[in-house]
Amino acid sequence: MNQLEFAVECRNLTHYYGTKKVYEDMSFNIRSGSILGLLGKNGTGKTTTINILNGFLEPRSGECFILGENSQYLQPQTKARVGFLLEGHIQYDFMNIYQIERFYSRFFPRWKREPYYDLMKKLAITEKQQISTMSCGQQSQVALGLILAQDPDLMILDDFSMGLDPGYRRLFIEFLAEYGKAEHKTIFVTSHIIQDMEKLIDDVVILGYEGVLHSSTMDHLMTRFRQYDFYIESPDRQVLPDGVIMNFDRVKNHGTVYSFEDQALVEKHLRGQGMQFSALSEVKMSLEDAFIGITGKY
Amino acid sequence: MFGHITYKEWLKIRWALYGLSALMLLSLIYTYAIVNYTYRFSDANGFWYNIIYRGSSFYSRINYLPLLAGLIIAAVQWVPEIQRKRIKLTFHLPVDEYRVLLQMIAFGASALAMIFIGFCVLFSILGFFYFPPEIVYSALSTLFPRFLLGMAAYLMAAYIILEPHMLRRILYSVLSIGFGKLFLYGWFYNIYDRILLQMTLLTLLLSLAIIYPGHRFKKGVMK
Repeated sequence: MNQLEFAVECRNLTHYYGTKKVYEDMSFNIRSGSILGLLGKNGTGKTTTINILNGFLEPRSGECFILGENSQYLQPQTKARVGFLLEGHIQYDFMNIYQIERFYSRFFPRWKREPYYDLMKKLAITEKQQISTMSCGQQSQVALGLILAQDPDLMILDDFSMGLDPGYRRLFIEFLAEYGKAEHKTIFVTSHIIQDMEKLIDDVVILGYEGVLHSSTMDHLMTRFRQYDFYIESPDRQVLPDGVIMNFDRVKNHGTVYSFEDQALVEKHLRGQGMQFSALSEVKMSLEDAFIGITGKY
Repeated sequence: MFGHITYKEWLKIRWALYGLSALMLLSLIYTYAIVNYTYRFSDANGFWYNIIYRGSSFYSRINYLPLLAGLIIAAVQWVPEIQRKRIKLTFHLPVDEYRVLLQMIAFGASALAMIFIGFCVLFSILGFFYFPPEIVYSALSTLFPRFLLGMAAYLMAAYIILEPHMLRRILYSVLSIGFGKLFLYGWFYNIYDRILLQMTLLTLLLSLAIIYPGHRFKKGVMK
Protein backbone atom coordinates (compact mmCIF):
# COMPACT_ATOMS: atom_id res chain seq x y z
CA MET A 1 0.00 0.00 0.00
CA ASN A 2 1.42 3.41 -0.98
CA GLN A 3 2.00 5.74 1.92
CA LEU A 4 -0.09 8.90 1.59
CA GLU A 5 1.72 12.21 2.07
CA PHE A 6 -1.01 13.28 4.48
CA ALA A 7 -2.84 10.85 6.76
CA VAL A 8 -5.44 13.53 7.44
CA GLU A 9 -6.54 16.41 5.23
CA CYS A 10 -9.18 18.88 6.34
CA ARG A 11 -10.33 21.46 3.83
CA ASN A 12 -12.34 24.61 4.47
CA LEU A 13 -14.19 23.30 7.51
CA THR A 14 -16.99 25.52 8.72
CA HIS A 15 -19.18 24.61 11.64
CA TYR A 16 -21.82 26.28 13.78
CA TYR A 17 -23.80 25.08 16.80
CA GLY A 18 -27.09 26.82 16.07
CA THR A 19 -26.04 30.39 15.36
CA LYS A 20 -22.78 30.13 17.33
CA LYS A 21 -19.82 29.91 15.02
CA VAL A 22 -17.14 27.40 15.98
CA TYR A 23 -14.87 28.15 13.04
CA GLU A 24 -14.99 29.10 9.40
CA ASP A 25 -12.87 27.88 6.50
CA MET A 26 -10.44 25.95 8.68
CA SER A 27 -7.89 23.82 6.84
CA PHE A 28 -5.01 21.71 8.08
CA ASN A 29 -3.16 18.53 7.16
CA ILE A 30 -1.36 15.88 9.18
CA ARG A 31 1.76 14.43 7.60
CA SER A 32 1.92 10.65 7.57
CA GLY A 33 4.19 9.41 10.35
CA SER A 34 4.09 12.66 12.30
CA ILE A 35 2.55 13.66 15.63
CA LEU A 36 0.35 16.73 15.39
CA GLY A 37 -1.02 18.58 18.41
CA LEU A 38 -4.22 20.58 18.10
CA LEU A 39 -4.11 23.27 20.76
CA GLY A 40 -6.73 25.79 21.71
CA LYS A 41 -8.57 27.27 24.63
CA ASN A 42 -11.84 25.77 25.78
CA GLY A 43 -14.59 26.24 23.22
CA THR A 44 -12.35 26.78 20.20
CA GLY A 45 -13.49 23.55 18.55
CA LYS A 46 -10.90 20.89 19.35
CA THR A 47 -13.42 18.17 20.18
CA THR A 48 -15.67 19.39 17.36
CA THR A 49 -12.78 18.81 14.95
CA ILE A 50 -12.20 15.31 16.32
CA ASN A 51 -15.90 14.52 16.02
CA ILE A 52 -15.84 15.64 12.38
CA LEU A 53 -12.71 13.58 11.74
CA ASN A 54 -14.40 10.47 13.10
CA GLY A 55 -17.63 11.08 11.23
CA PHE A 56 -19.57 11.81 14.45
CA LEU A 57 -20.47 15.28 13.31
CA GLU A 58 -21.32 16.65 9.90
CA PRO A 59 -19.68 20.05 9.33
CA ARG A 60 -21.83 22.78 7.83
CA SER A 61 -19.38 22.86 4.95
CA GLY A 62 -15.94 21.55 4.08
CA GLU A 63 -14.61 18.03 4.33
CA CYS A 64 -11.97 15.88 5.95
CA PHE A 65 -10.14 12.92 4.48
CA ILE A 66 -8.80 10.19 6.75
CA LEU A 67 -6.25 7.88 5.12
CA GLY A 68 -7.59 9.11 1.78
CA GLU A 69 -11.28 8.52 2.57
CA ASN A 70 -14.00 11.08 3.32
CA SER A 71 -14.47 11.05 7.10
CA GLN A 72 -18.26 11.07 6.79
CA TYR A 73 -18.27 7.76 4.93
CA LEU A 74 -15.45 5.72 6.42
CA GLN A 75 -15.38 2.11 5.29
CA PRO A 76 -14.99 -0.54 8.03
CA GLN A 77 -11.49 -1.46 6.77
CA THR A 78 -10.44 2.20 7.11
CA LYS A 79 -11.91 2.43 10.61
CA ALA A 80 -9.83 -0.63 11.53
CA ARG A 81 -6.72 1.46 10.71
CA VAL A 82 -7.75 4.34 13.01
CA GLY A 83 -7.31 4.13 16.79
CA PHE A 84 -9.60 6.46 18.67
CA LEU A 85 -9.31 7.61 22.28
CA LEU A 86 -12.44 9.35 23.53
CA GLU A 87 -12.08 12.35 25.82
CA GLY A 88 -11.80 11.05 29.40
CA HIS A 89 -10.49 7.62 28.29
CA ILE A 90 -14.04 6.33 28.02
CA GLN A 91 -14.31 2.61 27.44
CA TYR A 92 -16.83 -0.16 28.03
CA ASP A 93 -16.34 0.14 31.77
CA PHE A 94 -18.80 -2.65 32.59
CA MET A 95 -16.14 -5.09 31.35
CA ASN A 96 -12.93 -6.21 33.04
CA ILE A 97 -9.53 -6.11 31.30
CA TYR A 98 -9.85 -9.65 29.91
CA GLN A 99 -13.39 -9.23 28.65
CA ILE A 100 -12.61 -5.97 26.87
CA GLU A 101 -9.48 -7.42 25.19
CA ARG A 102 -11.46 -10.47 24.11
CA PHE A 103 -14.22 -8.24 22.71
CA TYR A 104 -12.01 -5.91 20.67
CA SER A 105 -9.61 -8.59 19.44
CA ARG A 106 -12.32 -10.10 17.25
CA PHE A 107 -12.81 -6.90 15.27
CA PHE A 108 -9.28 -5.92 14.32
CA PRO A 109 -7.27 -8.05 11.89
CA ARG A 110 -3.89 -6.74 13.10
CA TRP A 111 -4.66 -7.25 16.79
CA LYS A 112 -1.59 -7.74 19.03
CA ARG A 113 -2.45 -8.67 22.57
CA GLU A 114 1.13 -8.47 23.96
CA PRO A 115 1.45 -4.65 24.21
CA TYR A 116 -1.94 -4.54 25.95
CA TYR A 117 -1.08 -7.17 28.55
CA ASP A 118 2.39 -5.68 29.02
CA LEU A 119 0.73 -2.45 30.10
CA MET A 120 -1.88 -4.23 32.23
CA LYS A 121 0.83 -6.03 34.19
CA LYS A 122 2.07 -2.67 35.42
CA LEU A 123 -1.31 -1.79 36.94
CA ALA A 124 -2.19 -2.72 40.50
CA ILE A 125 -5.55 -4.26 39.65
CA THR A 126 -7.22 -7.57 40.40
CA GLU A 127 -7.95 -10.01 37.58
CA LYS A 128 -11.71 -9.57 37.56
CA GLN A 129 -11.85 -5.89 38.50
CA GLN A 130 -14.33 -3.94 36.40
CA ILE A 131 -12.87 -1.00 34.51
CA SER A 132 -15.45 1.30 36.13
CA THR A 133 -13.84 0.68 39.54
CA MET A 134 -10.34 1.66 38.37
CA SER A 135 -8.72 5.06 38.86
CA CYS A 136 -8.58 7.57 35.99
CA GLY A 137 -4.91 6.76 35.49
CA GLN A 138 -5.54 3.02 35.30
CA GLN A 139 -8.43 3.55 32.89
CA SER A 140 -6.15 5.66 30.69
CA GLN A 141 -3.68 2.76 30.51
CA VAL A 142 -6.46 0.34 29.55
CA ALA A 143 -7.59 2.70 26.78
CA LEU A 144 -4.01 3.22 25.58
CA GLY A 145 -3.27 -0.51 25.71
CA LEU A 146 -6.31 -1.27 23.57
CA ILE A 147 -5.22 1.25 20.94
CA LEU A 148 -1.71 -0.17 20.88
CA ALA A 149 -3.08 -3.70 20.49
CA GLN A 150 -5.19 -2.52 17.56
CA ASP A 151 -1.96 -1.49 15.82
CA PRO A 152 -3.58 1.39 13.88
CA ASP A 153 -1.87 3.54 11.26
CA LEU A 154 -3.50 6.69 12.64
CA MET A 155 -4.23 7.41 16.30
CA ILE A 156 -6.70 10.14 17.28
CA LEU A 157 -6.46 11.01 20.97
CA ASP A 158 -8.92 13.53 22.36
CA ASP A 159 -7.63 15.33 25.46
CA PHE A 160 -5.59 12.34 26.60
CA SER A 161 -4.30 14.11 29.71
CA MET A 162 -7.75 14.77 31.20
CA GLY A 163 -7.97 13.48 34.77
CA LEU A 164 -4.45 12.06 34.86
CA ASP A 165 -2.00 12.73 37.65
CA PRO A 166 1.54 13.85 36.62
CA GLY A 167 2.96 10.30 36.81
CA TYR A 168 0.40 8.77 34.47
CA ARG A 169 0.60 11.81 32.18
CA ARG A 170 4.34 11.41 31.87
CA LEU A 171 3.98 7.64 31.34
CA PHE A 172 1.38 8.18 28.63
CA ILE A 173 3.45 10.77 26.77
CA GLU A 174 6.73 8.88 26.91
CA PHE A 175 5.13 5.67 25.77
CA LEU A 176 3.27 7.42 22.95
CA ALA A 177 6.28 9.38 21.69
CA GLU A 178 8.50 6.30 21.63
CA TYR A 179 5.84 4.09 20.05
CA GLY A 180 4.87 6.68 17.42
CA LYS A 181 8.44 7.14 16.23
CA ALA A 182 9.43 3.47 16.38
CA GLU A 183 6.36 2.23 14.54
CA HIS A 184 6.04 5.23 12.20
CA LYS A 185 2.49 5.97 13.30
CA THR A 186 0.55 9.13 12.61
CA ILE A 187 -0.82 10.59 15.83
CA PHE A 188 -3.29 13.42 16.26
CA VAL A 189 -3.63 14.69 19.82
CA THR A 190 -5.45 17.39 21.70
CA SER A 191 -4.75 18.28 25.30
CA HIS A 192 -5.66 21.16 27.54
CA ILE A 193 -2.31 20.80 29.32
CA ILE A 194 0.03 22.48 26.87
CA GLN A 195 3.33 21.52 28.49
CA ASP A 196 2.45 17.85 27.86
CA MET A 197 2.75 18.45 24.16
CA GLU A 198 6.22 19.94 24.12
CA LYS A 199 8.10 16.65 24.21
CA LEU A 200 5.58 14.83 22.08
CA ILE A 201 4.51 16.65 18.94
CA ASP A 202 6.24 17.38 15.63
CA ASP A 203 3.64 19.77 14.25
CA VAL A 204 1.26 22.18 15.91
CA VAL A 205 -2.06 23.78 14.99
CA ILE A 206 -3.30 26.48 17.35
CA LEU A 207 -7.00 27.28 17.26
CA GLY A 208 -8.55 30.58 18.27
CA TYR A 209 -12.19 31.56 18.44
CA GLU A 210 -12.12 32.50 14.76
CA GLY A 211 -10.25 29.48 13.40
CA VAL A 212 -6.59 28.54 12.95
CA LEU A 213 -4.25 31.13 14.49
CA HIS A 214 -1.05 29.29 13.75
CA SER A 215 0.04 26.13 11.99
CA SER A 216 3.64 24.99 11.61
CA THR A 217 6.22 22.49 12.74
CA MET A 218 7.14 22.64 16.43
CA ASP A 219 10.68 23.44 15.39
CA HIS A 220 9.53 26.48 13.43
CA LEU A 221 7.33 27.73 16.25
CA MET A 222 9.93 27.29 18.98
CA THR A 223 12.84 28.80 17.02
CA ARG A 224 11.07 31.61 15.18
CA PHE A 225 8.42 32.78 17.62
CA ARG A 226 9.88 35.02 20.29
CA GLN A 227 8.99 36.71 23.52
CA TYR A 228 10.52 40.10 24.39
CA ASP A 229 10.28 41.66 27.82
CA PHE A 230 11.00 45.32 28.45
CA TYR A 231 10.55 48.16 30.90
CA ILE A 232 7.84 50.62 29.84
CA GLU A 233 8.64 54.29 30.32
CA SER A 234 5.50 55.71 28.70
CA PRO A 235 2.57 55.40 31.14
CA ASP A 236 -0.71 53.95 29.81
CA ARG A 237 0.71 53.29 26.36
CA GLN A 238 -0.72 50.19 24.67
CA VAL A 239 0.44 48.30 21.58
CA LEU A 240 -2.10 46.72 19.29
CA PRO A 241 -1.38 43.41 17.55
CA ASP A 242 -0.49 43.79 13.89
CA GLY A 243 1.71 42.17 11.28
CA VAL A 244 4.79 42.39 13.51
CA ILE A 245 3.40 42.12 17.04
CA MET A 246 1.29 39.02 17.69
CA ASN A 247 0.36 39.99 21.22
CA PHE A 248 1.14 42.61 23.84
CA ASP A 249 0.84 42.20 27.58
CA ARG A 250 1.47 44.71 30.32
CA VAL A 251 1.70 44.36 34.08
CA LYS A 252 2.38 47.81 35.57
CA ASN A 253 5.66 48.89 33.90
CA HIS A 254 6.62 45.43 32.77
CA GLY A 255 5.81 44.92 29.08
CA THR A 256 5.86 41.75 26.99
CA VAL A 257 5.44 41.40 23.25
CA TYR A 258 5.35 38.25 21.14
CA SER A 259 6.53 38.26 17.56
CA PHE A 260 8.01 36.18 14.76
CA GLU A 261 10.39 39.04 13.97
CA ASP A 262 13.92 39.61 15.27
CA GLN A 263 14.76 41.95 18.12
CA ALA A 264 15.94 44.89 16.01
CA LEU A 265 12.74 45.00 13.95
CA VAL A 266 10.54 44.68 17.04
CA GLU A 267 12.37 47.52 18.79
CA LYS A 268 12.00 49.74 15.74
CA HIS A 269 8.34 48.82 15.40
CA LEU A 270 7.57 49.61 19.04
CA ARG A 271 9.28 52.99 18.85
CA GLY A 272 7.35 53.67 15.65
CA GLN A 273 4.16 53.20 17.64
CA GLY A 274 5.25 55.77 20.21
CA MET A 275 6.19 53.29 22.92
CA GLN A 276 9.01 54.50 25.14
CA PHE A 277 10.88 51.64 26.75
CA SER A 278 14.23 50.32 27.88
CA ALA A 279 15.98 47.02 28.63
CA LEU A 280 14.25 45.05 25.88
CA SER A 281 15.52 41.48 25.84
CA GLU A 282 14.50 38.14 24.39
CA VAL A 283 13.16 35.58 26.87
CA LYS A 284 13.37 31.83 26.41
CA MET A 285 9.88 30.40 25.90
CA SER A 286 8.15 27.14 26.63
CA LEU A 287 5.35 25.88 24.36
CA GLU A 288 2.86 27.15 26.92
CA ASP A 289 4.40 30.63 26.71
CA ALA A 290 4.22 30.47 22.92
CA PHE A 291 0.59 29.35 23.13
CA ILE A 292 -0.25 32.31 25.40
CA GLY A 293 1.73 34.55 23.06
CA ILE A 294 -0.41 33.54 20.12
CA THR A 295 -3.83 33.20 21.76
CA GLY A 296 -3.54 35.82 24.52
CA LYS A 297 -4.43 35.35 28.16
CA TYR A 298 -8.13 36.11 27.77
CA MET B 1 -19.80 -10.12 13.68
CA PHE B 2 -23.14 -10.76 15.39
CA GLY B 3 -21.45 -13.07 17.90
CA HIS B 4 -18.93 -10.38 18.82
CA ILE B 5 -21.60 -7.78 19.48
CA THR B 6 -23.64 -10.37 21.36
CA TYR B 7 -20.78 -10.83 23.82
CA LYS B 8 -20.79 -7.14 24.77
CA GLU B 9 -24.58 -6.95 24.99
CA TRP B 10 -24.71 -10.10 27.10
CA LEU B 11 -22.25 -8.63 29.62
CA LYS B 12 -24.49 -5.58 29.96
CA ILE B 13 -27.85 -7.25 30.43
CA ARG B 14 -27.09 -10.63 32.02
CA TRP B 15 -27.83 -9.64 35.65
CA ALA B 16 -31.05 -7.90 34.67
CA LEU B 17 -32.00 -10.97 32.65
CA TYR B 18 -31.37 -13.29 35.61
CA GLY B 19 -33.35 -11.00 37.92
CA LEU B 20 -36.29 -10.67 35.56
CA SER B 21 -36.39 -14.42 34.93
CA ALA B 22 -36.52 -15.01 38.69
CA LEU B 23 -39.23 -12.36 39.11
CA MET B 24 -41.39 -13.86 36.38
CA LEU B 25 -40.92 -17.35 37.76
CA LEU B 26 -41.94 -16.21 41.23
CA SER B 27 -45.02 -14.42 39.88
CA LEU B 28 -45.98 -17.59 37.99
CA ILE B 29 -45.58 -19.72 41.11
CA TYR B 30 -47.61 -17.22 43.09
CA THR B 31 -50.38 -17.13 40.47
CA TYR B 32 -50.79 -20.88 40.46
CA ALA B 33 -50.44 -21.08 44.23
CA ILE B 34 -53.53 -18.84 44.46
CA VAL B 35 -55.36 -21.07 41.91
CA ASN B 36 -54.38 -24.16 43.89
CA TYR B 37 -55.50 -22.61 47.18
CA THR B 38 -58.85 -21.55 45.69
CA TYR B 39 -59.47 -25.05 44.31
CA ARG B 40 -58.65 -26.74 47.58
CA PHE B 41 -59.83 -24.47 50.32
CA SER B 42 -62.02 -21.74 48.88
CA ASP B 43 -64.96 -21.28 46.49
CA ALA B 44 -63.94 -23.41 43.47
CA ASN B 45 -67.39 -23.10 41.88
CA GLY B 46 -67.42 -19.33 42.15
CA PHE B 47 -63.87 -19.21 40.77
CA TRP B 48 -64.94 -21.25 37.69
CA TYR B 49 -68.10 -19.20 37.24
CA ASN B 50 -66.11 -15.97 37.20
CA ILE B 51 -63.66 -17.34 34.62
CA ILE B 52 -66.28 -18.87 32.28
CA TYR B 53 -69.19 -16.42 32.49
CA ARG B 54 -67.73 -13.14 33.72
CA GLY B 55 -64.41 -13.32 31.86
CA SER B 56 -62.29 -12.64 34.93
CA SER B 57 -58.67 -13.70 34.66
CA PHE B 58 -56.64 -15.74 37.12
CA TYR B 59 -53.34 -14.27 35.92
CA SER B 60 -53.94 -10.53 36.24
CA ARG B 61 -50.99 -10.29 38.69
CA ILE B 62 -48.62 -10.46 35.76
CA ASN B 63 -50.37 -7.68 33.88
CA TYR B 64 -47.47 -5.22 33.89
CA LEU B 65 -44.56 -7.64 34.25
CA PRO B 66 -43.74 -7.86 30.52
CA LEU B 67 -43.86 -4.06 30.31
CA LEU B 68 -41.49 -3.80 33.27
CA ALA B 69 -39.18 -6.40 31.71
CA GLY B 70 -39.05 -4.47 28.41
CA LEU B 71 -38.23 -1.20 30.12
CA ILE B 72 -35.54 -2.72 32.35
CA ILE B 73 -33.78 -4.51 29.50
CA ALA B 74 -33.86 -1.32 27.41
CA ALA B 75 -32.41 0.69 30.29
CA VAL B 76 -29.55 -1.66 31.15
CA GLN B 77 -28.66 -2.21 27.52
CA TRP B 78 -28.91 1.30 26.10
CA VAL B 79 -28.27 3.76 28.94
CA PRO B 80 -24.57 2.71 29.24
CA GLU B 81 -24.22 3.40 25.51
CA ILE B 82 -25.34 7.01 25.76
CA GLN B 83 -23.62 7.75 29.08
CA ARG B 84 -20.62 9.94 28.18
CA LYS B 85 -21.55 9.18 24.54
CA ARG B 86 -19.99 5.73 24.85
CA ILE B 87 -21.81 4.57 21.72
CA LYS B 88 -19.11 6.39 19.74
CA LEU B 89 -16.91 3.39 20.60
CA THR B 90 -19.45 1.10 18.98
CA PHE B 91 -19.77 3.35 15.94
CA HIS B 92 -15.98 3.33 15.59
CA LEU B 93 -15.81 -0.47 15.38
CA PRO B 94 -14.84 -1.61 11.88
CA VAL B 95 -18.37 -2.65 10.94
CA ASP B 96 -21.36 -0.90 9.40
CA GLU B 97 -22.84 1.35 12.13
CA TYR B 98 -26.47 0.70 11.26
CA ARG B 99 -25.98 -3.04 11.08
CA VAL B 100 -24.44 -2.92 14.58
CA LEU B 101 -27.48 -1.03 15.87
CA LEU B 102 -29.80 -3.63 14.37
CA GLN B 103 -27.71 -6.43 15.88
CA MET B 104 -27.89 -4.79 19.29
CA ILE B 105 -31.64 -4.35 19.11
CA ALA B 106 -32.04 -7.90 17.79
CA PHE B 107 -30.07 -9.22 20.76
CA GLY B 108 -32.14 -7.29 23.32
CA ALA B 109 -35.42 -8.32 21.67
CA SER B 110 -34.28 -11.96 21.49
CA ALA B 111 -33.32 -11.99 25.17
CA LEU B 112 -36.71 -10.57 26.06
CA ALA B 113 -38.47 -13.06 23.79
CA MET B 114 -36.61 -15.92 25.52
CA ILE B 115 -37.95 -14.86 28.92
CA PHE B 116 -41.46 -14.47 27.53
CA ILE B 117 -41.40 -17.82 25.72
CA GLY B 118 -40.05 -19.54 28.84
CA PHE B 119 -42.82 -17.97 30.86
CA CYS B 120 -45.51 -19.06 28.37
CA VAL B 121 -44.23 -22.64 28.32
CA LEU B 122 -44.29 -22.90 32.12
CA PHE B 123 -47.61 -21.08 32.26
CA SER B 124 -49.11 -23.64 29.84
CA ILE B 125 -47.67 -26.68 31.60
CA LEU B 126 -49.05 -25.55 34.96
CA GLY B 127 -52.27 -24.34 33.31
CA PHE B 128 -53.04 -27.75 31.77
CA PHE B 129 -52.76 -29.18 35.27
CA TYR B 130 -55.62 -26.99 36.56
CA PHE B 131 -57.71 -25.99 33.52
CA PRO B 132 -59.07 -27.47 30.28
CA PRO B 133 -56.97 -26.67 27.16
CA GLU B 134 -59.54 -24.10 25.90
CA ILE B 135 -59.01 -21.93 28.98
CA VAL B 136 -55.22 -22.19 28.72
CA TYR B 137 -55.17 -21.32 24.99
CA SER B 138 -57.56 -18.48 25.58
CA ALA B 139 -55.41 -17.19 28.46
CA LEU B 140 -52.31 -17.35 26.27
CA SER B 141 -53.96 -15.40 23.45
CA THR B 142 -55.11 -12.78 25.96
CA LEU B 143 -51.63 -12.61 27.49
CA PHE B 144 -49.97 -12.32 24.09
CA PRO B 145 -50.66 -8.55 23.70
CA ARG B 146 -49.07 -8.01 27.14
CA PHE B 147 -45.90 -9.65 25.87
CA LEU B 148 -46.15 -7.65 22.68
CA LEU B 149 -46.43 -4.57 24.86
CA GLY B 150 -43.25 -5.64 26.69
CA MET B 151 -41.49 -6.00 23.36
CA ALA B 152 -42.86 -2.69 22.02
CA ALA B 153 -41.87 -0.97 25.30
CA TYR B 154 -38.33 -2.30 24.89
CA LEU B 155 -38.10 -1.06 21.30
CA MET B 156 -39.63 2.33 22.05
CA ALA B 157 -37.52 2.85 25.18
CA ALA B 158 -34.35 2.01 23.22
CA TYR B 159 -35.43 4.54 20.58
CA ILE B 160 -36.07 7.23 23.19
CA ILE B 161 -32.82 6.58 25.09
CA LEU B 162 -30.74 6.81 21.92
CA GLU B 163 -32.45 10.01 20.72
CA PRO B 164 -29.95 12.84 21.38
CA HIS B 165 -32.44 15.71 21.76
CA MET B 166 -34.33 16.04 25.08
CA LEU B 167 -37.50 17.66 23.67
CA ARG B 168 -37.82 14.91 21.10
CA ARG B 169 -37.39 12.36 23.86
CA ILE B 170 -40.32 13.87 25.74
CA LEU B 171 -42.46 13.93 22.59
CA TYR B 172 -41.63 10.31 21.77
CA SER B 173 -42.37 9.29 25.37
CA VAL B 174 -45.86 10.82 25.18
CA LEU B 175 -46.52 9.12 21.83
CA SER B 176 -45.21 5.82 23.21
CA ILE B 177 -47.57 5.94 26.19
CA GLY B 178 -50.50 6.46 23.79
CA PHE B 179 -49.31 3.59 21.60
CA GLY B 180 -48.74 1.35 24.61
CA LYS B 181 -52.30 1.85 25.84
CA LEU B 182 -53.53 0.00 22.75
CA PHE B 183 -52.06 -3.15 24.26
CA LEU B 184 -53.86 -2.74 27.58
CA TYR B 185 -57.39 -2.37 26.29
CA GLY B 186 -58.95 -5.11 28.43
CA TRP B 187 -58.68 -8.54 29.97
CA PHE B 188 -61.73 -10.22 28.47
CA TYR B 189 -60.77 -13.55 26.88
CA ASN B 190 -59.78 -13.44 23.20
CA ILE B 191 -60.42 -9.69 23.08
CA TYR B 192 -57.42 -9.10 20.76
CA ASP B 193 -57.86 -12.07 18.45
CA ARG B 194 -58.82 -10.07 15.35
CA ILE B 195 -55.92 -7.61 15.52
CA LEU B 196 -53.13 -9.76 16.93
CA LEU B 197 -51.44 -10.10 13.55
CA GLN B 198 -51.48 -6.36 12.89
CA MET B 199 -50.16 -5.62 16.39
CA THR B 200 -47.37 -8.13 15.91
CA LEU B 201 -46.38 -6.64 12.55
CA LEU B 202 -46.43 -3.14 14.00
CA THR B 203 -44.15 -4.23 16.85
CA LEU B 204 -41.76 -5.90 14.43
CA LEU B 205 -41.62 -2.71 12.37
CA LEU B 206 -40.65 -0.78 15.50
CA SER B 207 -37.44 -2.80 15.67
CA LEU B 208 -36.16 -1.04 12.54
CA ALA B 209 -36.88 2.42 13.96
CA ILE B 210 -33.67 2.42 16.05
CA ILE B 211 -31.78 3.38 12.88
CA TYR B 212 -33.21 6.90 12.96
CA PRO B 213 -32.05 8.12 16.42
CA GLY B 214 -28.83 6.15 15.85
CA HIS B 215 -28.21 8.12 12.66
CA ARG B 216 -29.01 11.39 14.45
CA PHE B 217 -26.66 10.50 17.30
CA LYS B 218 -23.88 9.55 14.91
CA LYS B 219 -24.14 12.72 12.89
CA GLY B 220 -24.29 14.89 16.02
CA VAL B 221 -27.74 16.28 15.13
CA MET B 222 -28.99 18.30 18.10
CA LYS B 223 -32.35 19.66 16.90
